Amino acid sequence: MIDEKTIQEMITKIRTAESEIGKGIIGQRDIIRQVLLAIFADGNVLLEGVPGLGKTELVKAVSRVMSASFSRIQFTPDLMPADVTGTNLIIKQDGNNVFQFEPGPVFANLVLADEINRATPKTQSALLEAMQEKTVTVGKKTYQLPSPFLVLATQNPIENEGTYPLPEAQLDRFLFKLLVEFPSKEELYRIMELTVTNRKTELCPVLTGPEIIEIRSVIRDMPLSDAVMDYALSIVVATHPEREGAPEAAKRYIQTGASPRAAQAIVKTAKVRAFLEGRYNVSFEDVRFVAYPALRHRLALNFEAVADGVTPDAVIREILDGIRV
Amino acid sequence: MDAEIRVFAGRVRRRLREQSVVRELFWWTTGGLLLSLILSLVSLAVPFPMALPFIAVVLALSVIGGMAAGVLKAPTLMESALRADEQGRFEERVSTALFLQGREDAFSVLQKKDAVSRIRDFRVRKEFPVRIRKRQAALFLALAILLGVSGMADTPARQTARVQSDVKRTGKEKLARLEKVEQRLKEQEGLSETELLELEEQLERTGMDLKEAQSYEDLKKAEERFLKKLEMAAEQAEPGQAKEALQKAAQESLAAEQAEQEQLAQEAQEALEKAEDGDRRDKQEAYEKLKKLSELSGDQNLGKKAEAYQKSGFSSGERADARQALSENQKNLTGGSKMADGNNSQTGSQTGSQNSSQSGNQNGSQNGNQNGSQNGNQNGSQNGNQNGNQNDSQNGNQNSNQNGSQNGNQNGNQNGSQNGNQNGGQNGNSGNQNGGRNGNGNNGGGSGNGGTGTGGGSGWNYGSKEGREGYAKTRENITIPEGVLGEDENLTGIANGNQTSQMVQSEQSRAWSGNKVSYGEVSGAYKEKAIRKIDGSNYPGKLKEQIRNYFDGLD
Repeated sequence: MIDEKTIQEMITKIRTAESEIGKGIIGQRDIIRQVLLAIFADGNVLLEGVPGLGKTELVKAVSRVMSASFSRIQFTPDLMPADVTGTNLIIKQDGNNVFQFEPGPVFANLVLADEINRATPKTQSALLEAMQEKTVTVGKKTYQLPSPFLVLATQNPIENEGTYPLPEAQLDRFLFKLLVEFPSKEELYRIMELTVTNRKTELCPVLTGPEIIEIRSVIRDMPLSDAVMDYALSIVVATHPEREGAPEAAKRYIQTGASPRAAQAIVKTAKVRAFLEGRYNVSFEDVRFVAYPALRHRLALNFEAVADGVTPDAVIREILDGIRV
Repeated sequence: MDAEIRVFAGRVRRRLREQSVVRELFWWTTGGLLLSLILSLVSLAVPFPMALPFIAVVLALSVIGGMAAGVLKAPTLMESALRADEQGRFEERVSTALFLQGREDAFSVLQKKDAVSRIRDFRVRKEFPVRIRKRQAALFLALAILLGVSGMADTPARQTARVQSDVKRTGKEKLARLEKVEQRLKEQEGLSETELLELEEQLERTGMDLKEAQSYEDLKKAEERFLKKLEMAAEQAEPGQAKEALQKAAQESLAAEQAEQEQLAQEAQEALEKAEDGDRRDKQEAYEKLKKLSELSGDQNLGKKAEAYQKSGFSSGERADARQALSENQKNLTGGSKMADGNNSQTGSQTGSQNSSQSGNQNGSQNGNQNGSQNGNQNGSQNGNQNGNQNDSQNGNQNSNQNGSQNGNQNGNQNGSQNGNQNGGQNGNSGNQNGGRNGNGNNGGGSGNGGTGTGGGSGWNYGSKEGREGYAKTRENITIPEGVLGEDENLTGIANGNQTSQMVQSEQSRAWSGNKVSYGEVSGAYKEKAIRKIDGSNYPGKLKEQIRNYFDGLD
């Protein structure tokens, strides 16, 4: 039976990890926090932002602090699925030619899929199984990926030419979609201090893979009252414009609402947030906090929204405002 | 820990219920006040007798409704916990702890412990104050003041409404009194089922009349009709226990009416005295009491004086006149009361002659009835007394009385006993008188002379050919078949020796004796008139044709 002390130790570890990552990444506090939420909720993260905002650096920092195996895949149009998952090679063994599986870069605890939307859909879909099932199937054989396994993908929202937008099915497999914002002037100043001088920041590993798995397990037991659960589900239901009582914003701008995975994402990450906040229960605020990253990539906006320049976040905000606690 | 959380949530819930009740009570009563104010303002311009009860009901309902709504809208225990979370920024600790009641896993225990540690410093009463905002309170007060002011105002519409309301109330009192009379009669042995049925029917009619009465005069008439019916029943009843009971009931009812008027006169007297130094409201009240008394007692003089008093703006001079008229009214009431008492004593000795005893009653109160009584006297003792006085006084009385509306009453009375009398002397009476008789349907052929009568028969016709057919037929002219103009020799009575009997023949009578008009003449004239009427009308052609066919068929 878990005790308060153990829980407090776990919380301390996560907070230490958060602070360690913060040493290597200037600003982006919310992004760091949300990445950690996704890690402990056992989910994948899609980071979206213009180049140079430290997305890749963030993923590297996370991998260092978690002392987990890390691999990076730079997605390009000519990248093949086998380049991601690995392939069977014919090798000579005892005078015979036999197939031997050569694992691809996806076989790591932390996989950085850089500029994921530059690869063809075929290659993108090679990640589908890995992200959802935590397995890779090559030929007739299925290989288990290491645990914990996490895909952190990045994509650039401005260079659309020669890109392949991720299909909804794949987007849905990302627990969170995080928008990496341009840093403030003060943060930029600190970034300069860190990157254009000889000062080096050493990041210490704080968490191990087994610890992460244990913390995930503990967090899953966190209680959630009916009221909070009802609130989370109401949010997801409200994203469906065809449902009776859907908010005006949903009816007007949403083409397809969020899937049940969205509800799972909200509940799981809300629990992690409550845990990180040192609480033993999930609050409405936890749900509200995780609703944006959990829903924004799951809402398919219609043409009117695009024409009006309405973002998913704006729609989510209206939905949240419309639901009475 | 579970109990602690539950108790805390319960405290919050109680407090929220108090808040809810106060809030709902405020809004409901504000709504009630607004509605009451509208009703009150309407009643200033439009007579609305039920305005005050309505307002009282609206206010009472708004209070009850507000409290009920407050209780019904009170939050549940979980909602209360959520409110506490919100108010205390507990981040759903309380509601989750309540949700985890009975669960003992590690996380649940830790969670509840955490929640309990947070709520200890939470002051429920302070965090959930029961108060009404200043603007709301100001609105409430303003409405209450406006309602009070509008309620105090007295307008003609309000005065009318007050009278209408009092008429209704008095009507109910009268009805209750009459019902008691009926009840006593039902308990009395000796009354036949027919008599009881008739009385019940009459009471039912009277009840309707009393309910529909728009003025005190209507009430008076309705009650009089019932009493008259009672008297008639008493008159027609066979001597015995039932007759006595009916007579007694009639006398008691009269006495009760008398007492009511005396009481009213007393109240009017007091109101007048109060009005002397009182404000306008007191004066208005005195006027209303005088008016009521005048209408209930049929005292037109008092009514006029009361009107004059009000129209003069309640001047001292007019008040003195009104007081004088009131004194006269009181004297009359006292006189009538004494007469009624005298009659009661006579009843015992004159059981054999109903008319005589009845005359006593009627002398005391009504001139019209006096005629009936005189006929009765004629019947019993025409030879002795009547001859000596009949010409001078009896005729005179009859003439004067029959002019008024009491002729109808006279007819009613004569129904039972006048047949004999008419033979003696009244058969040749005026047409109006005949009209009354016609309704009774009991009159036989007239053969007497000397009847006089110039009065218009406008009384209530109880009779029909079968003896009763409603009382709406008035001023109905009939022909007295085989009528013979009154000559002394046609009198069935025996003239006195002085030969002082005087026959007066009515010249204004609308009745005719024995004249006959042929059916063809009547029918033809009627047909012609009808055809002319429908020709000039816009009835559909088919209907016109049908009417013409009908008249042709009559020929």
